[in-house]
Amino acid sequence: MTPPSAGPSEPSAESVDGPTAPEPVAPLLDVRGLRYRYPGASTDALAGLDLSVAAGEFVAVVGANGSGKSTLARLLGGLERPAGASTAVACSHDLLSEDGRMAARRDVGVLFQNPENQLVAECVEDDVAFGLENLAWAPEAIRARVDEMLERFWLTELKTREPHLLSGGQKQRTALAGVLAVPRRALVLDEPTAMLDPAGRDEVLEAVRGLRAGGLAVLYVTQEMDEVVGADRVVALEAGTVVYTGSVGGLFGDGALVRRLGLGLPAAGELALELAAVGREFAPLPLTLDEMLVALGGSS
Amino acid sequence: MKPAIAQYYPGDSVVHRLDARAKFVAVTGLAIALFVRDSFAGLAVFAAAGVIAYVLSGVPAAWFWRAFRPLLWLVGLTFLAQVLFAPGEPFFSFWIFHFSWAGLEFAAFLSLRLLVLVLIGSVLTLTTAPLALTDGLAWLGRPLRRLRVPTDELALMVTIALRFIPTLLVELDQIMRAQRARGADFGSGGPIRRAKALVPVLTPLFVLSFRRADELALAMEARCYRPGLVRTRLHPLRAGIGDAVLLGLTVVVIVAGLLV
Repeated sequence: MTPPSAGPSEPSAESVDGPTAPEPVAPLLDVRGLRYRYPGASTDALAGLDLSVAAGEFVAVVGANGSGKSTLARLLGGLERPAGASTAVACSHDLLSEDGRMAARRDVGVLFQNPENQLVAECVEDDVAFGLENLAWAPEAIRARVDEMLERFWLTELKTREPHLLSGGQKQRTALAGVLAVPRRALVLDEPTAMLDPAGRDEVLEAVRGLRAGGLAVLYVTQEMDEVVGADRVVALEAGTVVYTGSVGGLFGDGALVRRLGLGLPAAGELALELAAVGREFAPLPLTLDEMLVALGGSS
Repeated sequence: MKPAIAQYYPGDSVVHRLDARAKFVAVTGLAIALFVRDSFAGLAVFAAAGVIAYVLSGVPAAWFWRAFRPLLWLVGLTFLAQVLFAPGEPFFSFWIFHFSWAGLEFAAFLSLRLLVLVLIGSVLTLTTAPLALTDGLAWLGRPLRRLRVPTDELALMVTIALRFIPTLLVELDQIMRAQRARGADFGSGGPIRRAKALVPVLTPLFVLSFRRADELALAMEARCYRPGLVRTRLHPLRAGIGDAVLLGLTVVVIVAGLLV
């Protein structure tokens, strides 16, 4: 199971209220009726999906394997051509057009699951520079931006290290630094901790938590329910469509839905259910150990 | 776990700081001159140039030795072949072998020439980061772009290949362990049987590599890579006074080597 410290430790009080009313700004990521089918597949990977994420918003995406999470990540990053949609906009670029997708690749960063397969260059700093080199930035500007990213993701001391000598967490931080070196307005993270050991997960989650301050629209795809806690909003996918969008507490409070989607609960929630079975009820369901301790302390 | 060709000794010597393109041109020029010239005097000039470069590079002798070691067989064989079969007035004959002073001299010359070549080549590879070398070669190959040779893309391919060699070696090791745990035997039997035993190892390695390549391509696109676009570099190639001096000196050495 996951260590209790692995989840974002932000208080979830604000997220229980659901999304705080945003200013009337067009969302950075906005898709309506998004469809996609892999070549040769018999069913749609995405079957009319609706989703919008505003600037500064942190939205978690959950769902079983094959529910369309990774496909969604690729489409939002402008990396695949949608089969159709009534609206498909990423950072005001139209994902339905070739030019729009190319422009979206500049504004929307995508971090993938396997850090090993994202590193191109022979050392950390060259890898962080890769995106800027592709955009033909001047060498001095690349230098300054790369140094800034190395500093931000605690990689300065590792800058000349070769990728195969890095730990999993270090590799994924390098990949994240490389994705964000290109100035982004939105970021899609596709299960960035799935292949890491507990220490590596903590490192990456710490880095991800730091993203919220920057006004980025963040879409965080995960299978780890502890990582969902603390998101502004959670979206649950099933068979390529959205079956839930709302507060984290609202999702985990709906036991029937959680079971149907095969999601499980954060560690504290699982524990609370075990305790409920022996007569110790919790309402609302605690989602972090802190919440559980408060609930226990308040009533005993 | 690095291949011999990619051996690079990181450092900050005069030789390290020279531009990869200048070093490559100088080494190529010297190598050609070395093969054109067939006298010990010329050889001595080129050898002296190589030794000076070696001293200036600050690379430990052990690293040079590592570059030499695999080639000693070749040098030895060359020497033997020349000694045994070279023409000339024999001073000693045995069966089909004839030892002559001329043969000995020629064998020594060829062997020394190979050693000097390895010395000069090693200075290049030991003091130039593989990345700088591929970038330099891509730059030197630019005229080929007119013939639609995608030189920059080829350079990137080489870079990626170098970056993934250690990863693939680790993967190969894991697969072999997994197969051994299930009773595979890679160590016994004749060459054919041993080669056959490798098939179940290489198949998953290839499958994994193709998947890896797919994901890498996607990650590269996500970072705005498109083949054919003009790219800049974090570490651009920068030629300076030192490189002009190197090329000037190289010309002097070549002329001297050819004339003495």
